[in-house]
Amino acid sequence: MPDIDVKNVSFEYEYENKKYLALDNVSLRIQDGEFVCIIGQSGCGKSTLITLMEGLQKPLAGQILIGDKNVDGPGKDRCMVFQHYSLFAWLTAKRNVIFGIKQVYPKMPKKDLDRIATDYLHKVGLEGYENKYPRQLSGGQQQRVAIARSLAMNPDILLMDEPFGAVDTKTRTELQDLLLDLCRNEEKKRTVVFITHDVDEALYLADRIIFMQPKKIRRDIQTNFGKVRKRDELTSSPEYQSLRRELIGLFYERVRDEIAEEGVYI
Amino acid sequence: MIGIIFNLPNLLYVVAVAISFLKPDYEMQSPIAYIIVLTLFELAHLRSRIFRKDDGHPDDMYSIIFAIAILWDVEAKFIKSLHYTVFPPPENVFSIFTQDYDKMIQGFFHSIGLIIAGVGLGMFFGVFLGLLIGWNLRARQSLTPIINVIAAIPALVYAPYVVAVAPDFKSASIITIFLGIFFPTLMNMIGNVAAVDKRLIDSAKSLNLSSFDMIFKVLLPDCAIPVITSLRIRISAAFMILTMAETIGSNTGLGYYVRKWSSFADYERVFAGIILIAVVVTAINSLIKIFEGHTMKWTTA
Repeated sequence: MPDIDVKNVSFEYEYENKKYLALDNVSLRIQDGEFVCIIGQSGCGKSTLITLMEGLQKPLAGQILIGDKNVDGPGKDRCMVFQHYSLFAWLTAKRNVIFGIKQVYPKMPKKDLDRIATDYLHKVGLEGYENKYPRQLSGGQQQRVAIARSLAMNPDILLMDEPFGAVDTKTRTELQDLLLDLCRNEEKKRTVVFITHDVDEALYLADRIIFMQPKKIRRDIQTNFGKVRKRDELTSSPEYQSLRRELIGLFYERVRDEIAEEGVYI
Repeated sequence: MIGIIFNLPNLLYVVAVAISFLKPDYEMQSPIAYIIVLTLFELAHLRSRIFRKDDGHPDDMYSIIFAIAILWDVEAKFIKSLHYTVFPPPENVFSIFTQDYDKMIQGFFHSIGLIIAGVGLGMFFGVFLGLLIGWNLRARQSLTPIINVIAAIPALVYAPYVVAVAPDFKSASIITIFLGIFFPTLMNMIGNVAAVDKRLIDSAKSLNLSSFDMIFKVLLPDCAIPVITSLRIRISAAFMILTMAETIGSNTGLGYYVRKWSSFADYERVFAGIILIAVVVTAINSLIKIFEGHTMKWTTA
């Protein structure tokens, strides 16, 4: 399966006739099968980077390759989970999943569609919710449906843009465990690119953490915590603690720099 | 049990029926049709009393209905601030239904056929083209100002022209209703598509949708609520247009009926025609509401 190769990518936003540089000559290679978390404060360009990988926008300069193919639009090899508003409000949970599968396998018979959708909804713990509409589900349950739909579409690459950003802490830890479980237990080894601003979330999930400061990649860290993770053991281990300190240090350094740039003296 | 018999709406019903038997100083039609109508309201009132599932205050509503009937009857028969030929009593108005029912039924089918054709075509093309134009940024930006100007012209303004130019009255009414429905629907639909949440569009794009699926399986259902809600306003508008068209160039139809008898100063028939149109529009709106409940389950479930 292919790697994701981000080559010298720049991107500009236009807002009220002014241009803002969001990414400045960013390069990054993500290996096939890696679970990569991209972390950084709001406005650092992490969401922009992932929308470019998905192909929802085109880079101003540089290119993004998946294997040897240039990304110039959404593709069947990739699937994206958003923080909000991924589901179609007029379809039930199951119909939402089926809608996704149909885009990838347009000729699949109805019976198989039904079975696969039900399977994935059970995998994400939504037995009994198949025929509920999104507005009858909690935020966490809606994200479960979105994850089920993405996995059922069987992509090589799963792109997740702060998928657990809007759910409460307890639901978030449950969803993190669910995601790790699903990534480990599926036959297919998927590449996951996961955007977050939560240091603990990144440390718990990722094989590799990319720390972004505005427009650029600041640090690229391999975590080496292994595949099987127990939350309590992991979070109390010295390696975890030292990495956590380092990442938090990077966050605060940025804040200090910004205050200095604005000419405020402490 | 006592509550079902002794209450204000029941009292007013009895009073209204009693007054309907009183004779004024002019000759009056039989009150039977009027009493049947009052009794239908009374039955509806009893039903709401017995089953008690209606929200709001059905008692107040039925009291007001019977009170209006009493005031109308007393005014027309005894107070007579207006002459009874100008402001006829309810007995006379409702007895028209027993005399003219064949013309009314014929007019109803004539009008309703034209309305369904005009509104159906107008809504269909308005929604369909609105989706396409709304989705294409260039088409949207270049056509919206033009469509806004055309949609601002009331259909009533060009109805006489269309009636004069079209080969027959049927096609004239359908064309006028079509134009009167099509442009506002098109304008609203373009606006609805432009206002669809960008996050929903991104999410749909990331599923790799074809343009066809994007337009008909995402944009259309997302814009369905305002379309169906506007259907009710559109039907009322269509009735207005049709009535106008019928008053110019038809010899049958609900609007023609009212128009014709008002030029003969037969205000009993005018009142009856107006009531009939009110009932028809209300019935259509109820049907739309049922349809809305079936298709829009996901918004209220």
